[in-house]
Amino acid sequence: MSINATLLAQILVFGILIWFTMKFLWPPLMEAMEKRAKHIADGLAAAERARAELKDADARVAEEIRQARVQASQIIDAAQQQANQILDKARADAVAEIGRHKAMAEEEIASMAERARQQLRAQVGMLAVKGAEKIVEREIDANTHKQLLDELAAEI
Amino acid sequence: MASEPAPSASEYILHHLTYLQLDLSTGKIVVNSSGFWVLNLDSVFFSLLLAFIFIVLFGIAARRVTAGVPGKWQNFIEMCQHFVDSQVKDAYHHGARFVAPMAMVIFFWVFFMNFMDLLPVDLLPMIAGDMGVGHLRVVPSADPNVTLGMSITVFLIATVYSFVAKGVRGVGSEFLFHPFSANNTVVKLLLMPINFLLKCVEELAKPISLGLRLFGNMYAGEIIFVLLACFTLSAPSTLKNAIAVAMACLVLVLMVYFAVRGKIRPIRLLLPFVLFALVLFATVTGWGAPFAAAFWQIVLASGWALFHVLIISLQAYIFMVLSVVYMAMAADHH
Repeated sequence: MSINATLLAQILVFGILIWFTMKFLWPPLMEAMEKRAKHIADGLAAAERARAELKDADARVAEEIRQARVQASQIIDAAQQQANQILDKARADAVAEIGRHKAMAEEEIASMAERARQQLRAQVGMLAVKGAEKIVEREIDANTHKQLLDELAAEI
Repeated sequence: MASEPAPSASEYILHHLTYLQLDLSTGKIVVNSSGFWVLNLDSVFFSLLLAFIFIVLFGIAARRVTAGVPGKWQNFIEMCQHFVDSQVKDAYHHGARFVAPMAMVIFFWVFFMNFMDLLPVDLLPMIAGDMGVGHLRVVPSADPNVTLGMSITVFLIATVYSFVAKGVRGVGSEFLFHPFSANNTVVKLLLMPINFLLKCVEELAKPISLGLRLFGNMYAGEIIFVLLACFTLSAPSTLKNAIAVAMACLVLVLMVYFAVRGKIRPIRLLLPFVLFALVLFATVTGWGAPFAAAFWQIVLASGWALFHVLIISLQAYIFMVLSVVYMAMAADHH
């Protein structure tokens, strides 16, 4: 074992090799690795963000669906109420109309009955006079007993 | 090689421990020169070659780098780089940008140099021998010049960096007022030389221990492989010995196969033992000596190689982490 110039040669080679590696071999690979690591980290962060946004959107959609449902049920309630109102009003109108028609009919009936009654009364008077003429045979003058017959007709 | 007489074990080992040296003053190849201006050509060649491989491997990924979906190769290199980066971030919490690249160079370069230990010990020296090169040591990190060269570089960088990070005052106070501090001015003055001496020892111990630790581990590993190779050393390369080596391989494969996958139970249980007994018999009686030698060499060298995989990675890792820690210590204020 003897120390000789090989030592110096080795120091030189080692120094150059370190410099070369530091300058040309180490940085490109290291940069690539760091860049890729950053890339992956960015990708993961973006995915996380997207997931959060999706969750937000889902919540918003659910809220909107809920509101729409509430609104729809409100509309249905209002419509039902309105329908009920319309129905009630129609019923009331119909009832009023019926009452009016009934009153008119009754009125007509009453006036017709009155008229019939008066005709009947007149005819009954005449029948009575004719009957009496037949009974008393010309003895009684219609004009003389007219007052009597009218009284009779009024009684009927 | 076949025509030469087989070398003795000590010749063989010494041959494996001799550098291919170039005398820089005369420009000639020399053997076992002890002068300083001598270059171990084999260490320099292989460390340069491995540095080049490192640059190519990482350069391919760095050139075609993309921040999008990475290819397979970029993925692998990024994994390596991320491993180094996380180790550096654990130990070093300051801003200097050179620390992590330095750590990466150390880890992979040292690992590659250590890995040369796992090549068959005679493979490259034999090829070189056929090309007319007499000696060749293929593990640069088993050369103290290489390991100390690296540790001294780390030490120099750390020293310069500590001056940059703490200024002359900070470094000076560390050298003069630590580890023994006092409130009294006179005592302070008295303690200064002691502190200075201790700090010098502490600082110098760092590069020496760093370099020698790696060297010691790799040198020992190499020696063990060389020693194990001595099993079959005395056997001349004849057809008979080639058959013996093939037999040893066959027996090993059979043992492993029957131990793991044998269908018939008694055979599965007994055959490895029968084969092992055969090997033991061959070893003890000397009957079929080349066969037994080849068997033991294969078994032991494989075992050691498996263990050595751990050591080479661990030593590369230790060298890297300690270098980073030294940088952190250089930047830390006390």
